[in-house]
Amino acid sequence: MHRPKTETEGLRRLRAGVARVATAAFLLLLAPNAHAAPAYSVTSGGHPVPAQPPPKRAVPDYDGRSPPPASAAESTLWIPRIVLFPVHVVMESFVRKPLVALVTAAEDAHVAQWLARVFTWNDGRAGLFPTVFWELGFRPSVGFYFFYDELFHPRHDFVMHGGFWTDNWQQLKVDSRVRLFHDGSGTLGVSLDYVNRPDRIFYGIGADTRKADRTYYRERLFETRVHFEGELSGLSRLRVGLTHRFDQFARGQSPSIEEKHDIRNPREVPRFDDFNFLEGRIDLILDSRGPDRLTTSGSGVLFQPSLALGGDPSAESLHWLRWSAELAGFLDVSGGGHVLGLRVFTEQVEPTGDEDIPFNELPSLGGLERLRGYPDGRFRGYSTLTVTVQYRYPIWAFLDAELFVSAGNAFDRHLRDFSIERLHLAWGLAVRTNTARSLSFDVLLGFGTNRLDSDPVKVDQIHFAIGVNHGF
Amino acid sequence: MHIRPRDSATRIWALAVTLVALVAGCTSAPARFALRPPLWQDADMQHVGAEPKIHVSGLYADALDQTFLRPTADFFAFRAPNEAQNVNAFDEVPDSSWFTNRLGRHDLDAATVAAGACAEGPALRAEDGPWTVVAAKTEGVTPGFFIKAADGQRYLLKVDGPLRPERASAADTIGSRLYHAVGYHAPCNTVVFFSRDDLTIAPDAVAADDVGDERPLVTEDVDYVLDRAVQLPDGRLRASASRFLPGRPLGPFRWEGTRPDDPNDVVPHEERREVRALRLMAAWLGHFDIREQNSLDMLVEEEGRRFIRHYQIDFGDSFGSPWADDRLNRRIGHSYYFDAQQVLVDLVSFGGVSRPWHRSWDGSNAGIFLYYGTRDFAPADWRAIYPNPAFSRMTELDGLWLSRILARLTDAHLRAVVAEGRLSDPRSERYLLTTLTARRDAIIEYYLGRLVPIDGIEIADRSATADGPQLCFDDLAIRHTAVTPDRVRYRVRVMGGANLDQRLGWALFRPDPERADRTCVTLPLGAARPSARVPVGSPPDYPGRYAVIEVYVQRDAALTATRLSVHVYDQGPREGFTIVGIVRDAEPVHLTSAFPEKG
Repeated sequence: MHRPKTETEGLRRLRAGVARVATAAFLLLLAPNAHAAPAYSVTSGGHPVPAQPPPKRAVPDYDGRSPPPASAAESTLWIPRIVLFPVHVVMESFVRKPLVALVTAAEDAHVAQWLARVFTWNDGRAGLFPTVFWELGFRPSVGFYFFYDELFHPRHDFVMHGGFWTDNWQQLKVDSRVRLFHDGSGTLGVSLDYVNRPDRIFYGIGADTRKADRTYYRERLFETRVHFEGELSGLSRLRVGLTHRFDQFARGQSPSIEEKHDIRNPREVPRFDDFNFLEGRIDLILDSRGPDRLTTSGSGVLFQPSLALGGDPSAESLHWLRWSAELAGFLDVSGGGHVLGLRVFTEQVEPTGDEDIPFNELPSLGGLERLRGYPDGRFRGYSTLTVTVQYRYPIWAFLDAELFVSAGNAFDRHLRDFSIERLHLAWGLAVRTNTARSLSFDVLLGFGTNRLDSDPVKVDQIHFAIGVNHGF
Repeated sequence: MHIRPRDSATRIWALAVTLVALVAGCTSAPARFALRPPLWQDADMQHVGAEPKIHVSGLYADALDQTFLRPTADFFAFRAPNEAQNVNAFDEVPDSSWFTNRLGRHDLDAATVAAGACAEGPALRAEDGPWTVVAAKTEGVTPGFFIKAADGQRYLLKVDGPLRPERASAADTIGSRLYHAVGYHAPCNTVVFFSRDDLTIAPDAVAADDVGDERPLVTEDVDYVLDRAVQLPDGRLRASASRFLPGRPLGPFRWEGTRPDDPNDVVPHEERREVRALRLMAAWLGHFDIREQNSLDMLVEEEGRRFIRHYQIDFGDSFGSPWADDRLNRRIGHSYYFDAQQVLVDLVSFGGVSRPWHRSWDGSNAGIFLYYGTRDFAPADWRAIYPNPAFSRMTELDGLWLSRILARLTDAHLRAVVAEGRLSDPRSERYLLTTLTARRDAIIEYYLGRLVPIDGIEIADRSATADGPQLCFDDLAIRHTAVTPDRVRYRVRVMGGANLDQRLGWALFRPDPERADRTCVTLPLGAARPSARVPVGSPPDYPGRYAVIEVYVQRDAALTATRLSVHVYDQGPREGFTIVGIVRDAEPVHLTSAFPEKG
């Protein structure tokens, strides 16, 4: 509300604060014997005070008894105490004291408030934060998350999430949406996506892919989407969207897709080529738990069907019908957020023209949502099926853990070649922040097996991911 | 030694000590007390020559330190649990710059308890003249400002805010009075009513923004605060006023170590019984925000001496202060803000450990005191907002000490204190009084129901009479109806000799039905008394005069009993017995080994 007199003055104060923090840290690091002093750190205005402490009075004899002799038990404790002393000194003098002094000095210099001023604006309605993400088997990324609520209009929100890494890895998502209706329960928005990364994975198509078939390709994607989302009633949401996508594929990191697959063979890699398409999609979410998971019971039933019609507007015979459905039941076994769930999900795509559907548009499994023991895009086919048993439970006010066991695979059209023996198993543990649906911090450790008809069935995939991700 | 430590590191080392003790065995003659009066005044208010420095405490730095860094470093320090250092021969805490025995040693009427520290200075009343706003309050979550009353006395004025109105101001007032009554140093916090016209802004009044930049305070700043105040039907506003403490503020005190610049401060704070036991006070009131920043050292000058006095301040979070996120509200008191131990246990147990916050909470009758209740209140397991090194080292005897003081706090005291909250809704007042009383009783029952409940020990009729001198004591468990008298049996024996292992006499009896909570037993027990065995003319502190009178409290014919040992010098039939020490056992003893007599 009340800014400093000039921005120049503000920056000067910020620099002074940072310098003070750095000085405090430097002085403390130079004084490793600081642990010998009492834990009390007396400072004045954020500066350490090298004061000569006054002599202390003698400790009173409070009870008039001589101290009891050390027992054998207490004497024995000196052994581990001496053994662990170096660790204690390191923790106390090189970790604890410098860190506490550093943070104290930073607080005294209002560094957090200055950073908040630098990275947030408009009374916190706009802000910029760094992000980082790493998924085993893919390139890590660092980036930013920018938001601006009520931009231009009280009902208009704007979000931009970007990331980048070496080897020409970039990703940018922009979303601009307007809140509709008197209670803001509906949104109308436009999203733009740009992706350019060399680490998209491809194992082949269908149920018979093997771990050894792993290859990479580069994808350049430009996507524009107009979308509407609104509540139909207390337990239903409707999403409608129209997407235009321009996709380009090229050689990725090694082993690249060309090294193991014949990209000119449409049966092996359908349409490894540039293409445009338009897709209209409608999703219906029928969830008896209500739209807000944080304030409604964990028990309920979810049914989420979706239907999409897509195709290349410039190619008369390249179009398809895509549909998916998820049926799930949840039981809050404790009433306190310990939710047992059973989810069945299938996604199917059906060419309605003569041409093959681009391989990248085929339903896929893996990643952080479906068959989580595998990386994103591990399985591709004209149809997919997963069955998941999950147990989600709170471990902190802002953290949930989830145990999951899934079985699934990608198959030919209409699950034609489905059999239980051709499923892969995946299980693992995920920990996620639960503060916002749109953004979460995830840690996932998953394991995947080869197919159930293998002999022996064994773990052939470890999937680990950590970082900021989209929400549940 | 039996100690129930509060954090995982201390708990692990306590287990190690117990195991080694079991292997090594530990039997020794009880240590003797010197023949001298108990220390009731700690001389820690001596003149401080050098100018003490201001301690700057970081809100996040302290949270980071206490949540992660200090527990990790402490784990490797291998500090075994121990009893507090500043305990006198009577198992009590002497008066000091930290604590003054009020209820613990004196009978205070309800009005005195309700007045708290406010009895020591002028009252703040709007009708006595305008209040001049001199500065805005920039720290903490409650908006407010600093004012100067017509008599020149300064106050911090805080309003309640829109969420659960009246709770914060009532909590600040009631909390300060209760802390004061028990013996802690606390400011005079009081609920005040005033109108906007009672306030004027000083010409040099300043406000500071979030980065510390100061600027002149304007009417809009005052309006910003007052717009959040509770307004009465007659238009007056409600706030809590905290009278400035005398002296110069030196910043918060740490919960561990000592101040290097205070020569009086020689006992590490985490080794002080009254500091450790603050945990139980905070548990009682739900004062979860009892952290470093809510304490204050003041450099005071009294009778020509300048010294540091240690205060508890700001109790406004007590009685169910709400967080924006309900998931945190449900955890308050049961869990730290981030409780690494609980997170880990819940993770690896797949949420299999039942937690209080898993169960739904019916707060329909709690009103503004939502989540301050009695359900799931476990005094020994209560947790503040983050770990505290002193609280982690609180022992059973520390808790027992404070529960003895709380046992002297009557329902009439509580009624008078709660009335100072000036709550507009009688149902809220009734709920708060009921809950405070029930939580106090839960603490009393937890400690006095398991450990030795005896207090008020004295030798009556010291001069020789027909009946002889008597050892008298109160049974606080019976007084507080934590146990019925018919369930109680006392066994008393007198031990003497060079190693205090010779039984000189014993008695077995039940509480007197006429006055069950006060019992007296005539001394000496048995034919021989210690003074009869010493040479004629031996000095008063001659070792042979020493005896220990052990009082065992047995319930329901259990095989164990709690024990209190009264150490005495027997000065003969004429001078009688002089109590020199009182020792309470921190765990029940087996009667078969300690008291083999049948009965």
